[in-house]
Amino acid sequence: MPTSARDVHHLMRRAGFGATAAEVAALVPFERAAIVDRLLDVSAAPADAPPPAFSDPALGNWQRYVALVQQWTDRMATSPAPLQEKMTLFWHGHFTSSREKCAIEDLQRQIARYRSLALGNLRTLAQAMAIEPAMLDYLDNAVSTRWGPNLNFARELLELFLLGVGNYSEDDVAAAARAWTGHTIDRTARRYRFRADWHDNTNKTFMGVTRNWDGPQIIDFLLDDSSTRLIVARFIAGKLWDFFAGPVPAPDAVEAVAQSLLSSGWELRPAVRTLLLRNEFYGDAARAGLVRTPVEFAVAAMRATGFDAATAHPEWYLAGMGQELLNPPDVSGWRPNSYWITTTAAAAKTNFASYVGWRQRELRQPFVPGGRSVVPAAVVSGALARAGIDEPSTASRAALVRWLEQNRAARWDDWAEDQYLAVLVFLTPEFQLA
Amino acid sequence: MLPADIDTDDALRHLSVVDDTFGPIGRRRLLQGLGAGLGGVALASLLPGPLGASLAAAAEVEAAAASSDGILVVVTLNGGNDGLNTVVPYTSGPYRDLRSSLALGADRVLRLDGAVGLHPNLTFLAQEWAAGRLAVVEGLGYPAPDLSHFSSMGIWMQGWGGTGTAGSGWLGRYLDGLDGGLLRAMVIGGTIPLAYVGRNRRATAISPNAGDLAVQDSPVRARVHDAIRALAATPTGRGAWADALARTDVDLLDVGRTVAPSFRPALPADRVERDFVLAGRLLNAGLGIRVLGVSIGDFDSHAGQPAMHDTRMRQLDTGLRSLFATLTPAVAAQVTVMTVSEFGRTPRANTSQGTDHGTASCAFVLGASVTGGRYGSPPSLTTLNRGQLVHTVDFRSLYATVLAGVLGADPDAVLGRRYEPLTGLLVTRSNQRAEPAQPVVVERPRTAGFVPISPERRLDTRDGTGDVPVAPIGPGATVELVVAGRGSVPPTGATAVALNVTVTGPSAAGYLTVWPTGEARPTASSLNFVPGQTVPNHVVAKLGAGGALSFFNSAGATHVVADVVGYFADDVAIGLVPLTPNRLLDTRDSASPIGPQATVQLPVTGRGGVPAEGVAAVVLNLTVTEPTAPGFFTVWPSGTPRPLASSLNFVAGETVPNLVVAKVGADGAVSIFNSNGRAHVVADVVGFYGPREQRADAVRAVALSPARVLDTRSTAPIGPGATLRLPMLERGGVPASGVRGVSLNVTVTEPTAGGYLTVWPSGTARPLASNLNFRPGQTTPNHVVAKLGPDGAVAIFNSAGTTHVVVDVVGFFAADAA
Repeated sequence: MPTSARDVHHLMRRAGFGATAAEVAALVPFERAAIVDRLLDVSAAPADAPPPAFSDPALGNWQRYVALVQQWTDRMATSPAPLQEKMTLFWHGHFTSSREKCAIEDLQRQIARYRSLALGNLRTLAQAMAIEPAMLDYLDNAVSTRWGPNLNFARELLELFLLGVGNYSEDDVAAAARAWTGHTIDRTARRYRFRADWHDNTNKTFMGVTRNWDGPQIIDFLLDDSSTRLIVARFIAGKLWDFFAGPVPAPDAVEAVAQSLLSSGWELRPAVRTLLLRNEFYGDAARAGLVRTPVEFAVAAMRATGFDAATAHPEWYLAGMGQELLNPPDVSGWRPNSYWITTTAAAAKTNFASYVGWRQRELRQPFVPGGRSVVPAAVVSGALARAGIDEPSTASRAALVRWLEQNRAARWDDWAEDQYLAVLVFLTPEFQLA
Repeated sequence: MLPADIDTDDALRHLSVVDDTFGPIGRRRLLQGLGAGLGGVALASLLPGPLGASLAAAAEVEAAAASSDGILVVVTLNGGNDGLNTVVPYTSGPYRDLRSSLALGADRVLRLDGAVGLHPNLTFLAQEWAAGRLAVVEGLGYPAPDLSHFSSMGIWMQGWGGTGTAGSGWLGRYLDGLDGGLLRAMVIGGTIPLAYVGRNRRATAISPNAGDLAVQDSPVRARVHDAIRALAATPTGRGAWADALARTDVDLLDVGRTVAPSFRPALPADRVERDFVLAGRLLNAGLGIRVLGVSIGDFDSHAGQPAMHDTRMRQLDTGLRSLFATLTPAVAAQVTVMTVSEFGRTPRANTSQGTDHGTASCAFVLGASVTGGRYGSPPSLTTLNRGQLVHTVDFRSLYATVLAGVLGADPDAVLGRRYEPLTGLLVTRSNQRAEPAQPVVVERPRTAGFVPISPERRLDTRDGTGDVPVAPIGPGATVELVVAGRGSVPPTGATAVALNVTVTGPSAAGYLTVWPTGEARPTASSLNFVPGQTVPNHVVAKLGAGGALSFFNSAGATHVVADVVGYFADDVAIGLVPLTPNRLLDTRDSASPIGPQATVQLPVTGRGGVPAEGVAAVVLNLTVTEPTAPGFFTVWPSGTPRPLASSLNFVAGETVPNLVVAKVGADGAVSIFNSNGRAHVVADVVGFYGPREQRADAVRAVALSPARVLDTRSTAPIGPGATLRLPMLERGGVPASGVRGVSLNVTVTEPTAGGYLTVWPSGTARPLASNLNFRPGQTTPNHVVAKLGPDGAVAIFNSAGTTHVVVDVVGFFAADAA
């Protein structure tokens, strides 16, 4: 049976970056499961390549960074496989690295790796993540040797990436660190390299098991051993739930996702499918429970206006909003909801929206063509629809209509209509919610 | 993990958040470098709690009632200031040997005493030393010092002595335990250093480069701001997060508007002066700031130290001089400045004419409350620890000193354990808790009638109106105001007056008491306030000796304005008739707020229970809402010249109720004038004054000793949409029968959401009216005149969230026996 437009909107906002009324209408006739399957089919995703700027030797690190951020936000806004981009964003915030310590080229390769494995197998993804040069640099495993093991990667692998706090001991961290020694980078070729002479080739005791542990075996153990696999499954399932549904308590849903991971041998696609088909995901708490991250906010604004990143310049404002792509505040990534709700972030959003509005005016690309010949109520309806807001509240609609009427009534000020409509649309609570 | 040492800017960036104000944060990973065994600090709850202007205090930090009026300005010297060349041991041989060409000679330093002198560029500080206001603290450091900018800066910013890592800053934890809004702690700059980030709250960052959309400078922007406010005016219906987002956008405008005046006239061009002058102006604005942070950098003088350090010292000195030159004397009296730096520098100069990261360093503390002198002790220059100075005082002792001495906080709770404060450095401030709201002491003569007048300003401490000094009323001080024989109040025959009293710019939390001159001052409050608030309240007070009233202020310093709106006299046959509240005006219905300098006419006779004729005055509960600028309302009889008086004061975005007694014009209307911006006004009529002998339902007012009849803090708060029935007969001095209405002081406290209370006769339909409006976390009083229901009770309805309510009865209206 068909899916309600309301549910389609919600699904497209969470599993992607929103949808227009027309896109939603096209999906309504389908069953919910069929729509989710369409989202999970990422075969139409475009090829992944470094931005052209990377090949220009005259461009420095900052320009390459800008190029990468613009390329990624453009991809998020336009990809026919938005769920793949959302999952890439998820892994980027989970298996974190930062441009403060990593080469931009390494980060691009890391993100491409996450993208290709985003809906694949978690084991494959985790193993690949561990030996990406960006991660080896970020968490210092590249300089970890058997005579001076660096605990950083091992600690984060256990604490933040797979197990969670309290499920291991300091000895386990030390043992895992020794296991991972020697997994480093060939700096000339800028790729992963294993140095046996750096590697601790002796017995270590990890989680009560004594053997000559090597790094990758640590990951396999966590995913295979009965003492840890359920913990890992619930940990990852919980993170996915928080990311898609919001930090909304739903133990049964999380458990279902965890069980899917276990029973499928750590396949992410069926786990995400389970999540996106849970009733709790479509409940009121989940609908109201997640604030749009700055990246989602910026991408949604780009979709609403049709502007690419080179026009909208999200990279100028994302840091101010609190989420600088490729540069999380620390290795634990970003946190949902209240983390984004601050006056400085509001200022950055306002300034970004104001800039986008200015570009709309400059390029004569308003939300609703027709200018003053269109009555305010219709302009507002049109703008809200362009912004992918399917159920604007009476208060928001009324506030915008009243503003537009007053603005038109003022002499000489109707230019402000094009400039500031975007600001008000993007500041509505409906637009700021995920 | 970051490299063992990164430069100052990078360290700062890692130790700062780009955002501000609310939101629990988890910065535990940030301080990874600080030691082993990080179990991870539990992240604060991420539940959407009351995200209003004042968040609930963290459970761990229960600061003592922080109502001392001290203001702490923290000047951070980033990069590791060279203490040895700031406070110079100019007679020391080892100093000259270690420092060789970097040593400052006895002829260059500004001598403090026979042993130490200041860097030659610190001339302002030398003056402060001579005036006895400069404390020099030497040997500050901590055990097992870390020489990485990142790590040491983190340690200084955390200021934590408890177990594990705090993941928060010492000033942030202080802030967690403080009530009040967004402006309690401010930093100048675009980011907030970890020192100012607590578990639930953080300082607000004010960038010196203001000039974005949050600044309102045109009608175009004003309309956009109005629309942004409209988006938040009612609950969105989309849940708590949506409401919080909407609220934050409005807070942005409020903060912007509040601080915008501090940017005019233009700030100095020099970056350091600019920051310090801005800091001074923000403090002068009386915004209720308790902590303000300014930074100077970079002090990391690995090479070429003489020129660099000379410049830094000059910048520090100029900055402090500019700050004190900007502060008004009243504010300067409250301010204590302290400098911090994350470590000192090596005693031995290196081969690049510089010094490297060191350990023990010095700090300055200056201000009116400081007892000048040297504190701590200079580190030994002969006994070094692997070439580094050994500290003599833990820097957290300095923190403890200012936490207790300036901020009135509990240092042990903030710092995680006890650190010995530096005794004698600060004059101890007495901690004062705001008295719980107690009602007005009123003695209205039993048969007095009321003569309303067009409001007349009789007292204004800002300009000396009332023959009072042109100065705020100080803590514990009293001002006397002669009322009889001035303006429309007759020289004899007036027994009491009705006033609108407003406090503005209070520097501390406290209360005002108005009582008859010559009588013992009662323990009661006419009005409560917290720093920076402008609070109006309707007050009725019996006149004392010489027809005068006394005004007492309990804490801090505050300006007081009083407008007389009527007087009581024995020979007057005008009495009060209380009514069930009835809404007469709500400009939100027609979406036309009152514009700046505009007036609306409000017909009051023949409506809402007010008769068409014979009405002398109406009693209104007037509420301003969504004002776009700070201002006031004046209510006066229609058809007469507008008086200089205020019936209600507000700041931008505030919802403020006040009881207003307004004489009615000849045409049966009152005029309402709005001074600034655009504001919506809601007027509910709750009673009127008319000729007693013509009204069967006229009453006479009987005053009571104030008595508390309700305090939900000892039972349970009132929930959203809930109504509480409050029996009034035979309680607090109200008799068992013959009572038509009561006079109450109603206070909400600890409301979890923004909303309003309605008080009306129990057993009758609840009117659409509000007697009191409040914002989350805001303690709000209002005087309420309420008719009793047939069951001898009043009903109290709470519109949103849960809130505690305290009710004191101060009088009742008995059926007139005349």
